[in-house]
Amino acid sequence: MKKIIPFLLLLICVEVRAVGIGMGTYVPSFARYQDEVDGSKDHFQFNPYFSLTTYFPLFNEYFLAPEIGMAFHTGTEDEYSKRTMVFLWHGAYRFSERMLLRFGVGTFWTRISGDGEEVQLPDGSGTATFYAPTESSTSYTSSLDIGIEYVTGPQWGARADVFLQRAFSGDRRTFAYLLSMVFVP
Amino acid sequence: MKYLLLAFFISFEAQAFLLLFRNPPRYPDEISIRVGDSDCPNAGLSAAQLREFVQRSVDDYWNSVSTSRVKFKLGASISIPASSTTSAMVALAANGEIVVGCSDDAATFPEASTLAKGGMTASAPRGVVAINDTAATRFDDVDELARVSTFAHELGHAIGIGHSNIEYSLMYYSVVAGVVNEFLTEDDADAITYLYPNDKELGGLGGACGSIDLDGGNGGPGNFLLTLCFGFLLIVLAQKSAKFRQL
Repeated sequence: MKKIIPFLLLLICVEVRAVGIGMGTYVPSFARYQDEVDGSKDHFQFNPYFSLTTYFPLFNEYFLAPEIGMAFHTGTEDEYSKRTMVFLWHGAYRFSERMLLRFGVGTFWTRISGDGEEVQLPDGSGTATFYAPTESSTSYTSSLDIGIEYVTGPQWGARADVFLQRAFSGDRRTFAYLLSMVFVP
Repeated sequence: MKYLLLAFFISFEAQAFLLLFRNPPRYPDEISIRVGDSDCPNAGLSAAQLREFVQRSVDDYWNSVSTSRVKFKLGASISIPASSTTSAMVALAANGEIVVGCSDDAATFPEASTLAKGGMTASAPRGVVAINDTAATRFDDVDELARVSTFAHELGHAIGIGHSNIEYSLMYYSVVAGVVNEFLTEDDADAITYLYPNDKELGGLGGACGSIDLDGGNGGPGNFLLTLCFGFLLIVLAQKSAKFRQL
């Protein structure tokens, strides 16, 4: 609860122009990790992402457009699960009738947890017992963001956002992206 | 929309990192690696090459994970007797250190096919990586990428990561013909992230803006002040917006 205080602060201090419900896929590491036996890298994943996004008019065609979302990572076995909570502190600029440019910073809470199961796997010439994670662990990552939102109809929009994570770390800099549809009831 | 729903049910490659112990001891954020100062004649490595391979294995693999805070760093060289067992080698390490060297001890490497061994103590953050330097070793038969990834695999064990059942994972339990371990997999990255996640302070500005840790916790006063500043900025912007609409 305490983690969303700034978000609540925002909700009570400005007039909300619109609230949207988003759904899409979050890809945490673009071309970063190997996903084939030949060494080729991962470019796309389907990790269901659900969000609540808001639009607060500022001036001219500028908006504040903060968002809170949750991504559920697929592809993990029963031994552990991973999900990412996302806060996006975005501004938006409507540069044409149907297009918005989004920009800002983001925070990602990646939580990994497991059931502590014991697993027997080969180890050298014999087998050994290994252990799945027994508790939860949360990693905090920040990002610089840019994105495009296309208004497809009176209530629907399509979005593509790119997140530059660990932007100031030469070794660990990573791109992530989000493809989503936004429905404004 | 129906394609989106269809994609939800598509099965993706499963990930399954495991640990050596239920709760491995944690190293400090900077792990010092002490590399042996002797050549490994049977494995075909000079002392300088040994050090170079270790450096590449941390740069190309473990030090590149964006969601982890831990950093491997090469420390001063260390003298390791050639016939040392893994137990003798790990005894040379201080807490927070990993000792890397070669061993020609036949009891440690009874099989030529075992390229190396790695592990850590269950009670303290001290680890070891031993390269098979027995007369029958096959370490010098494998290509350069396989050598570097072998070091990286054993360093994974030295921080408490176990084997994975993903065939192309760095931490897979066997060297498989045709499989190239050129990069970490997401499974490997999740393992080191689980053991050594980024904390709030290392999360940077975004991490600070997203949270107010009223309990103190590990967020630190800097995070709290930054968040207050951000909240203040939002209020100012909101008031400006309201005035603008009145005009």
